[in-house]
Amino acid sequence: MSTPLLSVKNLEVIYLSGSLKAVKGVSFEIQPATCLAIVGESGSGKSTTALAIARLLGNSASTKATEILFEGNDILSASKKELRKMRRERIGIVFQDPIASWNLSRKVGTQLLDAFDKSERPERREKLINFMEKVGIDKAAQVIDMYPYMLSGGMMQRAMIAGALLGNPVLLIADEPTSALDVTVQADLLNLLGELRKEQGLAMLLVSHNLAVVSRIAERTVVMYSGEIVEEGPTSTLINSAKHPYTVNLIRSMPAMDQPRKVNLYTNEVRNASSQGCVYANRCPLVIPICNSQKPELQLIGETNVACHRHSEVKKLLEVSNGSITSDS
Amino acid sequence: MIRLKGKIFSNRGQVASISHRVSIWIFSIFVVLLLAVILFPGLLAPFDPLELDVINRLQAPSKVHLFGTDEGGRDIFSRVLYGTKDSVGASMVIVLMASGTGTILGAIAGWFGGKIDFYLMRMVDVFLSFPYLVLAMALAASLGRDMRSAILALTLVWWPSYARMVRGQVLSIKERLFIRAARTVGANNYQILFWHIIPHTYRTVGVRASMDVGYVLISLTGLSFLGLGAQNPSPEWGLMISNARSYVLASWWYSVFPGLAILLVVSLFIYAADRFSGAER
Repeated sequence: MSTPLLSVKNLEVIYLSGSLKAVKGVSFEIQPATCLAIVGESGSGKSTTALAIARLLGNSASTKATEILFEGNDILSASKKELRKMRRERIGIVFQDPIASWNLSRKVGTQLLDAFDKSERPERREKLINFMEKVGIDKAAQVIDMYPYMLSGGMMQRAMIAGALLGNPVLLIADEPTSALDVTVQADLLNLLGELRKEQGLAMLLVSHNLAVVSRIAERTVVMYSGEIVEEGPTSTLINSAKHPYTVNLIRSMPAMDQPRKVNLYTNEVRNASSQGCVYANRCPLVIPICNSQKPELQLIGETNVACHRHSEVKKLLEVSNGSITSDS
Repeated sequence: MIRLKGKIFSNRGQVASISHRVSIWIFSIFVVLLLAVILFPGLLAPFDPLELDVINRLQAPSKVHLFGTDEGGRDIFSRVLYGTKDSVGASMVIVLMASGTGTILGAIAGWFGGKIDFYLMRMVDVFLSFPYLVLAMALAASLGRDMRSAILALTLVWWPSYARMVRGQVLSIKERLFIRAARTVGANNYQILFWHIIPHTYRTVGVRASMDVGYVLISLTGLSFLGLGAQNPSPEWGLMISNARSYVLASWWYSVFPGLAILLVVSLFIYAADRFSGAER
């Protein structure tokens, strides 16, 4: 394996208000020009992980890690100036809510070009128009001088992506880029992201709760639950032969038109698991005593890393329960 | 700015927004008239406000002297018009300086937080813990009895309330997503503060400033009335009323017309602020 573009080791994030540990020791790597997806339910710490990598959490959270190396530089010890340069030129970021991402009182173009030196702006402006056309904005030369509130949600997000690409980044962090948009726009944007990625040789960190989205774009997928990684591996392997009960549930909870929902969504609630045991023990349908007393380590099984004591039995047990795992304990 | 708000951000019904727009038009016309009088008082005033005409002293209102004359025979109508600059113009200048200083300092306190915030806000507390008019009088008296020191004193007394208000606004604005987005494109503190945060405080500051033109006018004319602001023979409204005290029973017009001018301007600015803040809700 070549040297990874981004390598994160033992990332921990604590939100200071309420001292909530949102991310507990997460490690992963992104190779150049590949896409890594982080999936998980709301509150699993996936967005927090993405923001922590860009050092965008501010003073409300404390971020610790053994290392966060981006292109061989330690992000944690970077100065403010280096961080600004990095965000401007090496990392592009797209957020979940395109409407809230814009300052409605500043023109689209000015807002995206603000951060560049005055001398650079005319050239960047041309580039921005190009990118905006590439992401499917008609009449980009006019849109660039419009105010954000004049655009639709889909257009705003497209413009945001164009802006994120402006500095020639090598890594694009997309924090649920499509979940605030309607389904047809979602599909368009996903295709677009996939194409851009190939064209520009971008690596991507995609945060999503939607496995359908992930399976289309990402080469590798990390499944997070309650701030920890429960399973990690190549996307297709992970989806076709999931070894962690949570991953299985996540896959089964994807709604399909022609089938009844396979997972009873209301039986379990997220509770703070005991610090000793498995984070998923409270909700897991396959829980055995050891799950509550000993934390399973991530271990390489076949192609994927799994943190589960019963990984070998998951598949068999699922077949027994007639394709539906619910908590019956 | 304010018109934008009515058009775009108001989510009220059509009827409300039309009447809102009408009142904004009326207010704007009024302000333009005021500015015209401030800049070119000679266009409307029939007489020189300072020229003495002792033979015609204390004349009742007539066709020649619409508002009558004062003890020096000067035309009160002309004096009221010329006095607009000293009274309303100065109030506007005070509000502009106070809101400008307050906005910038408040935004800095809210954005940077920490020690800067602490020291700035304690300074604000010191100012706000005095009754503002008493403080303004003390400052004006110690700076020297003229218009300039009255303006300076009122500015000093007025900026802290803006600083506190804007700081509160900034605390909520800085958590919004577009600030994070601005950071992701690499904007620095200065750019975020002046391009993304302060413009979002214009709305509340604007409403407050429009109201404060009224309140500052009362305070400024009050200072002049007490002899701490404009000095004779300036046609400042508060000073005119002060001069009129000796003649109030015999020559009612002398004090009534400058007083009515104050009443009109103050109530219009406060009414306008009330309408604007109503549309904000």
